[in-house]
Amino acid sequence: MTDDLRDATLAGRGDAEAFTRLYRRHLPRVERLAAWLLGHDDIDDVIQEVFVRTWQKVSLFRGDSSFTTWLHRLSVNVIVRHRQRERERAANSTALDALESPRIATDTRIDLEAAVALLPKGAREVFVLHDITGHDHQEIATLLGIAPATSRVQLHRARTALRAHL
Amino acid sequence: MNDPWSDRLSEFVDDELDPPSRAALLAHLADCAECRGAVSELREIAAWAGTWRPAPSAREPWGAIATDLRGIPQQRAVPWRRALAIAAGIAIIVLGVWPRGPAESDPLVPPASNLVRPANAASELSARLSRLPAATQMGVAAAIASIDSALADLDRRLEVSPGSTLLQELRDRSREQRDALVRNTILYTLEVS
Repeated sequence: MTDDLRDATLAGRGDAEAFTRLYRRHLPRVERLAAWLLGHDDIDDVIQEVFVRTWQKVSLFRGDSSFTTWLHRLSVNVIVRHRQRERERAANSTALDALESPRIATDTRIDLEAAVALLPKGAREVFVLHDITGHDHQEIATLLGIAPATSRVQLHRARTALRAHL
Repeated sequence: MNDPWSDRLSEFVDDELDPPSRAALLAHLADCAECRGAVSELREIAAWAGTWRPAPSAREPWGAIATDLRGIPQQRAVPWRRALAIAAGIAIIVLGVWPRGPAESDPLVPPASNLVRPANAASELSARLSRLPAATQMGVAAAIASIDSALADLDRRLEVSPGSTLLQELRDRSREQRDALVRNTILYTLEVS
């Protein structure tokens, strides 16, 4: 039994300490997903929302897939809903411009992980959802409100752009 | 790269090409070193993403997590026999509130959106509803029925007063609410899939 499966089982029975171990192991992953999909680094609220939702649902995790895969899907849905709320709030303000332009920390070294953050918004979102979190193009189309064909085009655009950083 | 295959290399990497296209691309790769190199690098990127391990986080946004969680209730799985019976009942309710079928003018999706075709949205929602807790299923079905009732009433009133901008606005808003409800329900069910 993996550490994740053991801790998820315990957490599903209400063991908050086991859940804290899950949280610490997976926080960096959720943090990067949130920053990539939201396009900015103001992500404390959404991270907390992801882990509250995880706590509420962890008893439903049965180990059919890895905990990471399960958490990816839960995280993406929380982040996408959070982004919808952000866009609604920003609809009547100039804050929308900020959402469209990802901020990259100045001390971030230029590697593939940093290069992902530099991708154009549409390509970045599809790349993260397809290649990182394992969603298929139909699911991405539903999540992002785009056509599956657009998702395929954006994925290829993202991968092609990332080739320059290999 | 002006190669006619260059835009389809990711589909090849993901094994999404139909057999004839895949065979044609394989033949092309035998003669095109540039595309072979591109495929190799695209695979490398996909492999990196699939095994991505983030660097440790310096962030600690939720220090007292163990304490904070104790007041938050957890969901419990519904026994499968009970879930099956509930799902069957709810399917009847949901099918009953989808009388219009997959017409192009179905207001499930705004015309400008290619998010989910109406038929797909209706069938996808029906398929996914059974994964929700019983109370949520009931809530979704009741909400859709309520919006459909309002839409039917507004349609009747608009037949009498077709020029009423107020009624048209109310109908548009109701359709948007229905669309959002369907979309958000599908998104929610993705969490438990």
